Order: sequence, then C-alpha cells, then structure tokens
Amino acid sequence: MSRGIVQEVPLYAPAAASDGLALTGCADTLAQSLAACYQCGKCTAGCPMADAMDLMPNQIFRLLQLGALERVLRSTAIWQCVSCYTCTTRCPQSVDCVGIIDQMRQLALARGMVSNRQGRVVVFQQTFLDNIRRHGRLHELSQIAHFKLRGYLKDFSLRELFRGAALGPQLFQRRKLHFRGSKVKDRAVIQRIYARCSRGFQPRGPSIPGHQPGSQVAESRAQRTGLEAPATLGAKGTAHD
Amino acid sequence: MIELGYYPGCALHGSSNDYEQSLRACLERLNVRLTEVDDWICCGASAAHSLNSMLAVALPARNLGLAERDQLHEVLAPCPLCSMELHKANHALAANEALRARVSEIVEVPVSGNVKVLNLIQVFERAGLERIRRAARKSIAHLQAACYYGCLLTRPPATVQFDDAERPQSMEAIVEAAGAKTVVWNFATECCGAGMTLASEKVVLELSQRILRNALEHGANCLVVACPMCHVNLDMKQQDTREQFGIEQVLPVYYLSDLVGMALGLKEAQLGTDRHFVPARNGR
Repeated sequence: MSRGIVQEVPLYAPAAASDGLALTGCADTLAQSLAACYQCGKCTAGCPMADAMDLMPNQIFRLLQLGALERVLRSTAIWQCVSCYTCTTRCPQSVDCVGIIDQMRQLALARGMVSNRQGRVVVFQQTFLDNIRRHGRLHELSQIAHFKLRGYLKDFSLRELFRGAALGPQLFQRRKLHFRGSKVKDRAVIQRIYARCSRGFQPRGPSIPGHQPGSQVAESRAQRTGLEAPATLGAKGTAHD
Repeated sequence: MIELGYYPGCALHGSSNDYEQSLRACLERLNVRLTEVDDWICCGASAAHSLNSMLAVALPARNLGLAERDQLHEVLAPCPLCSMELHKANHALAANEALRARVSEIVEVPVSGNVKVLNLIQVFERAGLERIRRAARKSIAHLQAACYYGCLLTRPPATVQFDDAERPQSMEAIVEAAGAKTVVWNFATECCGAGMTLASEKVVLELSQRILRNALEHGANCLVVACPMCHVNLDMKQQDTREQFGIEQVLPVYYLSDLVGMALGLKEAQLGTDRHFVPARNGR
C-alpha cells in the first residue's frame, strides 16, 4: 500500500546495470572498497545524522559484508544520509561510503523496499528529478507544490501540507520565488537524456570479492546477530559479468 | 581582466538569486568577466546521485560539454553542490574512454572532461588577495566572521581538490583581506542539512542550531558562507531555529561576496543583502 504512491513517480533508474553503475565504473570499485572496511567506526563518529539513524553507517557496511542486503535496503538510515561526505573523507581505508549508500538507495527503490517512513525524502528527490525532466532547471514553485501534494497523498498530514506556507509571501516579497522561473531553450534534449538514462532498469546487488552473498556462512552469521538472511539477492555475485 | 565561464545552477536563478546578484556586483568591481554557459541545465544535485547513477554523470556532463562548445575552459560554479557534481563527472569522464563516448552520445554534445571547475573562493584568489586589500575602501573591521564552509566546498577531497578538508583557511584569508576579523571555531565544516530543508525540516533545524550556537560561543557576530543551501538553512530558517532552541542572539549570514562587496564600497541594494531574512549589519 504505502509503496504504491511513492512509486507512481517514475523511477529514473539507469537503463541497465551495464549501462549505468558498471559503465561509470561504480559497481567494481564500490565492491572492492566495501571489502576493505575494518569497522573502525570513524564514519559513524563523524556522521551528523547518526543520532537519527536506525543503522549506524559502520553497521551498514558490516551488514553488506555479511550479505544482509535486505536489512540495509529496508533501513531508514540510507535515506537519512544527507551526502555530506564526512564519512568518505575520513575513512582510513578509502571506502566510498556515500557511493555505496547511493547504490543502496537505487537498489531499494528498484526492489520496492521503500516504506512510508522513509518516503518523504524519496518523494522529494523524485519530484526534484521529475521537475528537471520537465523544465531543465529547477522550477521551485511547481516542485514544492508537487512534493507537498505527493507527501499529503502519502500520509494525509495537513500539518505537513501547510508547513512553511507562511514563508511563501516573504519569499515573494524578497523576489526569491518566481512564477515563471529560469527557462531552458532546448527542453526536448533533456527528455531524450532522461529516456537514455532510464530504460528497463534492473540494478544488481553489490558483489563482494571472495564472498558469495547468501552463502551458509553469511546466513548463519546473520541469524546469530538477529538480522535477516539475504532473501532477495537475485544477482548473486554477478556485478562483474 | 579575468574571463571565466559561469554556471549559476538552479538555486542562483531561483530563491538564492541574492547570491548571484552579490557575486556579479562584486566580481565586476574586481574586473572578472563572467560568460554564462548557454542553455545550461540542472546538475541533478543530490537527487540524481541518490536515485540514478547514470543521470548523475549525464546531467553535469551536458553542461561541461556546452562549456567546451562555447570555448569556456574555466567555469565558475558558485554553488558547491553543482561544483562537486561537475567535478565528479569530470573525473569519471577523464578516467574512462568508453564512458566518455557513451555520455557524449547521451547528452548530444562531445564531452572531454577537461573543463576546469572553480568555486567562488578560487575566483577571489585568482583576482588576488592583494588586489582586494588595495581596493577595499570601506572598513568592515566591526565584523567578527565565522567562516562556514559546510560540506562540499572541501569534500570529498579527492574530487574537489581544494584546501584542507578538516581545517580549511582559504575563506578566512579572503575575509581578512577585505578587512573583517575571523574567529576560530569548531563547526566550519559540519553539515547544515543541505537540501533536506523541505523533506526533513527537523533535521535541518537541529544541525543548524549547533552551527549557530558554536559560532556565537566563539564570539562571532556574523556567519560567512559560499553556498546557497547553507544560506537558506542558516538565514531563512534562522528565526525558526532560534525559537525552537531558545537562542536569543541574532546572527546575520553573509555570502562571501557580500563581505568583499561591502569592503569594496557596494551598497546593500547593490549586493542584495537587503533581501536576506536576518537583517544585515553592513551600514552599522
């Protein structure tokens, strides 16, 4: 139920893994990078959002090493991350923490594992991308309206719907909100770029060198730690093919 | 005369147009001429890199390609998020020939990944601190500035390759050249919540109050930023933040170009500081 509304907005996910993550070189380097994590906890120590997360950043990376992908994909933490890059910057093992979390967000979305709790951030980002597809540049008024409406349809909170409404007139008065907005001449090219980047999406799970996701070791470890066994690793270790 | 390409990004043509007004007025005085990348599009921001890795390369790449087409080899991107996305695309493209070919096709303009991307601090450095010092005609010595870099001016260091990620000092150098004082404080590179203003206001207010408090505790009487999102969270949302967390003192938030502009003798209405939410104190 909760998923339905979130997913009404197009996914905008890469055309195919070979076109998207793999071509940008992400899949390979991220998997290698993940394997290097030795749980020093520096990512979590510096994370401005750690207080509010259901999984600490270092736990995310450990769970992925253990193959507990679904536990990570269902977490709210991956959507609470604000991409400030403090973790990536400070990691002594050069793990691209934000890059991995980006990949988790895309997988969670593609596999329909985004719940209502995380939905608001997802809806914001989807309405943002949708707005760019239509206008080429962010048209703030229509994006705010779109986001507010989708958010309202999701949880029917009037308070959220009108939150910040008082700012509107103040922004107009300061000439900071615009009805027309800054326009792009060639808007058709943007639609074509989106189409080329978004067809028939099927992202793959991360593969960890020297480790078979879903193996017995991973499952028993996951059970011992009270975490779900990796149920949906359809693309077992195939990120490199 | 310094000639540079210019990629404003959505915020500077939208709700942060005071930033554009300020930096244009200021750079004109310093003889820096900006040529806007023709028909630029959004860089995709956090939404693209969170939801679609391919769009996250393609959208900034289109802009890099347009800049190249217009013979703009160096481009100022005053928004650190745009700047970081452009840098990221540059690195990805420069390192991978197959990607370069594919992306050039996708965005319908050849992209080499060789356009140099600059932030506002780098442009002031290019204009020269000595020049700013000499051109300063109005004293702003009453300002005790906490220079706030936020996340993406210095992070991730391998991508943006600018200053020191943990203890940057480049903004302080410019602020001091303009004649203001700077304070030593702890939150210069902590995150303000960035683009979460709408999606998660609670987070933004909490992170912002830590920054405001720390700046005040260290004797600052203003904050200086070089990011449209930092300005929104710390200026536009400041009243909410102060009310919610019981902070009594008001802290004006300036763009870096406001401060330099004031020293150069530009008026509030020329810089757009009269459009901030927290009243500016340049006239004092």
